[in-house]
Amino acid sequence: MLTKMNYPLLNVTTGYIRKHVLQSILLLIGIAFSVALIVSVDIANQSASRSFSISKEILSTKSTHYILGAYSDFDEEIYKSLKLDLGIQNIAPIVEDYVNIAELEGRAVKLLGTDFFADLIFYEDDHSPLSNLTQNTLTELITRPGTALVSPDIAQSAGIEIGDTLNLAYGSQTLGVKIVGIIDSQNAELSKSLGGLILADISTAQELLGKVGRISQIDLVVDEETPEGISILQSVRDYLPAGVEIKSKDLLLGSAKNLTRSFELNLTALSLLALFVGVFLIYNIVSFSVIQRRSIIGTLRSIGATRRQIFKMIMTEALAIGIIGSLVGIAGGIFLGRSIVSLVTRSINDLYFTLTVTDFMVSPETIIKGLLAGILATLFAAIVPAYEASRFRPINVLRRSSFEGFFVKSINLFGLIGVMVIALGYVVIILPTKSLVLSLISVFLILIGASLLVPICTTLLMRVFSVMLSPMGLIGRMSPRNIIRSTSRTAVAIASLTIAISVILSVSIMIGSFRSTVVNWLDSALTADIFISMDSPNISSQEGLNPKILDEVINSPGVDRVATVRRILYNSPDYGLFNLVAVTKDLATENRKFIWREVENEQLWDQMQSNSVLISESFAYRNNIEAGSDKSIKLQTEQGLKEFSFSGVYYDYGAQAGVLLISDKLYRSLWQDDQITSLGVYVSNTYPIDKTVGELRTKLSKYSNLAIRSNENLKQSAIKTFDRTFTVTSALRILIAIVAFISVLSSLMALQLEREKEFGVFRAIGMTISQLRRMIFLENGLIGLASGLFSIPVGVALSLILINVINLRSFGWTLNFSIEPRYFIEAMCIALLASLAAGIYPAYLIGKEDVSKLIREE
Amino acid sequence: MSIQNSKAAISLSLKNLSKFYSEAGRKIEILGNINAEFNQGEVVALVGKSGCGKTTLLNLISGIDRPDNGEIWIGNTVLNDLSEEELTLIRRNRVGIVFQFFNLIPTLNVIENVSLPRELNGSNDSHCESIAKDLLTRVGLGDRLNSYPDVLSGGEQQRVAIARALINDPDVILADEPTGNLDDDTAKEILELLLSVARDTGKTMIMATHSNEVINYADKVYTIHNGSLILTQSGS
Repeated sequence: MLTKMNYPLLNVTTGYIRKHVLQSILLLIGIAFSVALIVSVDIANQSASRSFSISKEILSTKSTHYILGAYSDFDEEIYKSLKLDLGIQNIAPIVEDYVNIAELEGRAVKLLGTDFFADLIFYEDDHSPLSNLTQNTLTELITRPGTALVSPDIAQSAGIEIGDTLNLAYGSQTLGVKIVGIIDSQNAELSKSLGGLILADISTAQELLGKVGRISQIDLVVDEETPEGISILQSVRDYLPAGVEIKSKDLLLGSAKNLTRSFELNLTALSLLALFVGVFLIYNIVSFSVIQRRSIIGTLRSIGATRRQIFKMIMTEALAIGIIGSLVGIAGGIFLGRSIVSLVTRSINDLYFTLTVTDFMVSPETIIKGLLAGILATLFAAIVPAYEASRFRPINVLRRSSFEGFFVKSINLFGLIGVMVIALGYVVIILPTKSLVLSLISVFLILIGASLLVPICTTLLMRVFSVMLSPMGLIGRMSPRNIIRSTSRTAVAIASLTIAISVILSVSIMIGSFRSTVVNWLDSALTADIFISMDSPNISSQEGLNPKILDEVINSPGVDRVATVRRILYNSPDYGLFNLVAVTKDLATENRKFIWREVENEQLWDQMQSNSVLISESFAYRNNIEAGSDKSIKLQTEQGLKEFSFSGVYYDYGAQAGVLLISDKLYRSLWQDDQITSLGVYVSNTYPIDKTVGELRTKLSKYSNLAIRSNENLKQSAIKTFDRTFTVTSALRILIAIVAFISVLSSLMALQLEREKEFGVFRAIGMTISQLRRMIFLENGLIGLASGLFSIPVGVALSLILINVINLRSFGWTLNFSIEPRYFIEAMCIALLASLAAGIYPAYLIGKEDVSKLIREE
Repeated sequence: MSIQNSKAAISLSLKNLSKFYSEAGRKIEILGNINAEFNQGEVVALVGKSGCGKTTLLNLISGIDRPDNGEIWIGNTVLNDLSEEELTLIRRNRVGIVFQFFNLIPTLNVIENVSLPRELNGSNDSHCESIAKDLLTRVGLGDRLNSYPDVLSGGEQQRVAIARALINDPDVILADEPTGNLDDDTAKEILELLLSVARDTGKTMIMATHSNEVINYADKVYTIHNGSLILTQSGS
């Protein structure tokens, strides 16, 4: 486009940009911000996936399959048999679990033990981390129990040197491991995968984690494409006992990706919303630049420039700024990405699974995506103004209001199209589907529809304001009329602010509703007075409390009774990853809120003790289990495949993966697991709870890594975790507000600056600077007020979609719609602040400008 | 200070007035050492080549611009020492300005445009509307009170501008090429209107113009040449 443009036209363009640097900078910032958000969210999403992937590629990046227990570790004899009896090569055993480093404030890392004589130990890599270690180190690692290697990152952060002991919290005990070497690789990928790792010999890991004779995983390299590979896989499948499965790497990564997909999609949608607001900004500035050059364009057209040449001139200009803005945005996105990655990783750790490695990955696709998004959004936003410029007739172009006239005539049509687009959005919502993408499309349709309605609504509202403000005199009457007169730009500014504020409002209502739902749920779900669990437990860890603790608690003064919870992460071929939670009676049905239940609570417990389970709403939603259906649930247990009926679906907001609640008695009879994840302690009515907490803390102080919390304390901690998971959403919400702010700032500033001549006339006929400033702020205030008012219905409608459709489809959670007046006050304040702030610069300028220059005719 | 009430018999005087502009680091004298006195009710034509400084002089008199040297007196008020705010009040109350391009406010209708300078003094003036109506009737637009500028012809817009210039009963009317944007017939009508208004109300009117017709009607004609103000015709 640039090469084909005439040099004189190019000079007109560059000359204009040089003269209007501030405008160009605002445009660049707007594009850059929008692109930065898209890039940073994409980096965060990809990095999270990659973090999961590399955490699985510790021993070999070439591993193609993993043998895993469905719910826990399995017998190490399986490894031996595969290797010796079946003669399978390229395999390695792994024992692993998550531990917390005491020296690093409980940072979660993976303690991984393997057999250093196995085939598949970094073998394919030229930069094997083991090659850096001396023979003595390796010998010490293998022969001396309690020794381990750590990554340079851990050693450095914990201030550990070779020969020092590192303290690891696991369950209710603290393990001391002697560090005999630092493990790292020249290979960047491998180096990353070693980042959150403590590597030990398999026997050391088994001993430390209390898994003697058990292993967690076997890594394999099998070529599925060859007949030999197919036969190997078949023989492995045939050999593996029930509850142990072989899974391809892609399948495993896919299931993790599926789990976090909704979360990531929601973030992407938020970043696209920023771009959506950015499009308004670009449209505004480009259209302003066209209007500002009305006479130049008229002159060019008069002396023979074709419509095509004018169109190209505007589009080339937009393209150039779009490219620069996008490049700046990409750089900003990479910078911002670092913070977003850590927020996203933290949310995934809270919601889904433990990630010990935080990869920061900027792929070429991310850069291309950012560049394309920025350029296409810019070109898209510039098309209308460029087309308008090209359609100007030389005679009309010199008339100030020709474009405005066209716009004003079209507002009814825009309104009509807006209503139709909103109706289409509504139809998309009510389609009988669970598609998240469709529900996000409906959000965008409603936002587009609302934007199209803004011009007509603005005109009507300003007419009302004009009457209401007439007691203020001419300034009061003039301000709303000025807004109507420049609808083509004021409406776009109001629309962009409305969209941004309504997004902010809807996210506030959604988070608020979510929070109040969770608070209510916690009140009903947490019935015990005191809870005892591991401090900083890792969501993926199967670690349990020391079984002796239960007896000590039962026999403590004031304790009436104790309920137990055993929670394991279960990976089922039919239901994916979910939480299998075994509970005793007190925590099973009491106070639990059901969506559906077959019988009353007392009978429910009886059913649960025989062969029935309860499932959480998200489990039912994800697996398409209708309440009341006679569908049974089949699970692989250590007693073989068992079929369970389900007697109820209950509200649960604890784990997005979903929960299958089983009675402790039934669980223990089917799984050989005597571990307890946490205890719920009921205190006698006559005994003070705080006193019991204190006494239990003293009594159990010999067990490390224990959290003994009162009911209230635990609720507060749960709410804290809840708030943390929304940090990234809140951060994106603020960034959208910034884009909107820049958008409003640029458009209103442009609008006011364009009126310099008019201001000059006002000054010339006797309007004081303070009166003029009052008028500028009044107009901007009205624009902010209009945006705030329009954002209320749009925001509430969006929040209803977010709560009732998107949340349900993303997480399978039903939330209670809850509104607080402060959300609206906040929204109104942001709208007013943004618009009033946009008046500061023009108001400042008006005091500086020379009136004679302002009123001089060109 | 009470600017509104400090009117004097001698309408306007300029004493050793100079104005410079900077261009590419060079100081260019646009008006140099100008001295003149304008009596009440006098109609003065200001002529000279384009760019000679006619508009600059009108801007200095109205307080839109400030001189580099010299003094401007409107009645017994010297403008040089006034603050920006005070100069604005002078423009609002003691000077009426008529522009070449009318410069009406597009969002205000005819009567609101005329009332604007008076309403800027405060919206409690109950006479404002009736004064504006009278003025509009006088300029021949009594039937277009609620029309907006975009539906008026050039001549009609200039009539509104004249009425606006008179709303605060100013001492001086400054007109910068008031007929420069109008056809000959309309220009003549506007010119006659301005002259009759000035004569009937006893206002001092200074009109920058290229029009020979104005020169014929003016009491005095001043020419600006090389930065000097030269009285080239006195008495009509």
